Amino acid sequence: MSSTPAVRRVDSDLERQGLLYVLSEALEKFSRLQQILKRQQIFIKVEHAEAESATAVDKLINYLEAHCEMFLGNSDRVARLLRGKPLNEAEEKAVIQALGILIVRTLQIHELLLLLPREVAKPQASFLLRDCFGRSDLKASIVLTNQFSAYEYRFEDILEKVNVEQKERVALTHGGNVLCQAFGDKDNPLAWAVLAHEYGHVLDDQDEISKGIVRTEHSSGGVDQLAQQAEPDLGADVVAETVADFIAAHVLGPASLMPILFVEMMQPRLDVRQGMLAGHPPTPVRVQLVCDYLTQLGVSTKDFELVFETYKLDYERKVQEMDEAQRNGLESMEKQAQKLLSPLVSEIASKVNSLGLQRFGMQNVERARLLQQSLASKQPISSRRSRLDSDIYSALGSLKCGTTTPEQAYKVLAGLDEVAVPGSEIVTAGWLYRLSSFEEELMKTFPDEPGQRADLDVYGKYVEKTDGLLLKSLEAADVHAEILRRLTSA
Amino acid sequence: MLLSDIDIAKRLVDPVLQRRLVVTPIISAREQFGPSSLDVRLSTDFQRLENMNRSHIDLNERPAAEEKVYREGKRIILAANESFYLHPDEFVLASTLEFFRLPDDLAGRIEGRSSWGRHGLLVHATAGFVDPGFAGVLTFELSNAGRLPIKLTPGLRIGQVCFFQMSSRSLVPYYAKHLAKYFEATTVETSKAGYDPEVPKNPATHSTP
Repeated sequence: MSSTPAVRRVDSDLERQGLLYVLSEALEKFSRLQQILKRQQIFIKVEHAEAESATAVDKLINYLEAHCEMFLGNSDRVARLLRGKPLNEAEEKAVIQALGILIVRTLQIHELLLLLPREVAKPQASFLLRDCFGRSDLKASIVLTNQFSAYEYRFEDILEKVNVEQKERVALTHGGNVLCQAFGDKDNPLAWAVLAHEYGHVLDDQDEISKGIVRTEHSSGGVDQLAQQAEPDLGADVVAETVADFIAAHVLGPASLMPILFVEMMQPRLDVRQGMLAGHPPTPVRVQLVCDYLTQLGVSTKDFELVFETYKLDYERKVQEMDEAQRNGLESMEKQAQKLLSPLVSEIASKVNSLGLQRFGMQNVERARLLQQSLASKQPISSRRSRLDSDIYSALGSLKCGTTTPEQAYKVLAGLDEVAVPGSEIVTAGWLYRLSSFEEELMKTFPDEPGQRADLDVYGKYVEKTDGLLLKSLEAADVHAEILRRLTSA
Repeated sequence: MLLSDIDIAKRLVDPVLQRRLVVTPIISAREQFGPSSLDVRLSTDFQRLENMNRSHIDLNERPAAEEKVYREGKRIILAANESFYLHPDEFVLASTLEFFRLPDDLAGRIEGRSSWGRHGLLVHATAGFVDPGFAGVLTFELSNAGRLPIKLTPGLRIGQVCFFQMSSRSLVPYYAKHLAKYFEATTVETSKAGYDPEVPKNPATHSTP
């Protein structure tokens, strides 16, 4: 993350697709970061006009904007690249390099947000988790933090790290967990799929799924073998991550993988420190396992196939760019993870299936495809009608003033009642909408007129509007479900 | 012409998309339909307009910045089972749970409901009119004219909207206006009166919408 990425040619349709994904993700992250910083700037100016911290925020904004200016200097070239017009090698290199620098600077500044006054997570994130996991009490709170330490904290782990004695721990532990979300994803429900993975760890801990599997496997030596390669507990960590992946996929479907893939594609190079050594199996292994699991559940991943293919190509190219020792190390990790997990996958799947969680099925995918159209027409998707509009319209036509009884009228009007859409469908529809609409928005952002600079606000407004629709959808779906509960109990 | 219940219902599923009225979610038509109106529910977000740092409202004074401060600082989002207590003489902005999209030939009007009015709840201060071509949530300008606090919970039907068939389609519907300030709003938005062209501007501090 700290240096300029290597430059490579865009020499296939899939490479171009990858570049578009990276461009969209980078602009999204940039615009979210800019929004947060500007909010902080206003807050500080209004509340603490003389404070030194105002200077810090101003500096961050200026620094970010300077790098943005450098990127905008390539507007013409990006516009041509977007439209499949040829660029010479030097132009192409310039675009990729400027984009890489913008990404690196955005991610670096994002980490500094940790030092600024904290913002709070959106309540809709809890609404989504409650809905996905069918829990009225999550026993987990969500806090905002920096990108590279965003994960789940267990009170027990922290108490152990700060050497609290065992007998004292009982008084301090309440069995709670804290799910950490990156600042930049505060308003972005599409990224909250990661929270479902982290909450998967909470359930894994409660039910001791991975611990149980690892205990059994120790007798066969499988887990130990992997652990010896790197550090203690690695084998157990890899199993735990797979359990969490399966739980997230179980409740959210293929969309659970999307934020992970987009963030990784945006990184200039593979960071092995964030892979296996941080306890996760290499991402291609995770993707394969989750896709296989979803297939078993009867869920098609077809709608996201292009992302998977693009990710695979991106990953392979990044592996090729590594030095030989790193490459060999990573390939060996992949093989070990596959060897370790292959015999355990069916047991993990079976344990996750038996948790009794709401299961994301093919009907959810189909409904999400329809809901995506409502998002495209800029409407929230908290609910849908069960009956066809044409049927309701003809039934309404049969009602006559004076002869229709109130009960007959209510029976027909009840056709207009809508059912609440589950959070998993809202998130899936959101991803489908994003994948189908971002390219057009990039075109608007980078107009095809020689010499005209891109207007990143255009993309920022698209991001903001999509967030608004999804947040409203989650909020209204939560209220909708609550009202139905009240009506049922009445 | 004021639309009757059956005409509102037909507009909601009109096969001609340009004529279609969107109101979503409709959770219980049986409860929500009146003879010539549709009840609307309270959503989860509230904007409390604080006065402790302000001597008066000056539209010339950095309106965009102020809006953002309010949006972030004083905004409250409730869970579906939480409540907001509106105290006597208090004024807050809230919004409908429902998202609306009006066709070019329908206008609307938001009103309170009699049962809530009897407790002193007012749902709008002055702006109850909904333009043809408008899309978004409707804003409640809530105030309590009674003498006891009112407990408000998301999902309560505190208002109703009636619709008027216009004599012809609007020439410039709301979405086509040169300054459609609240178009496609999905949450409560504070006043953007400062953007009106007749308001004197301080070029040093004024921003565009």
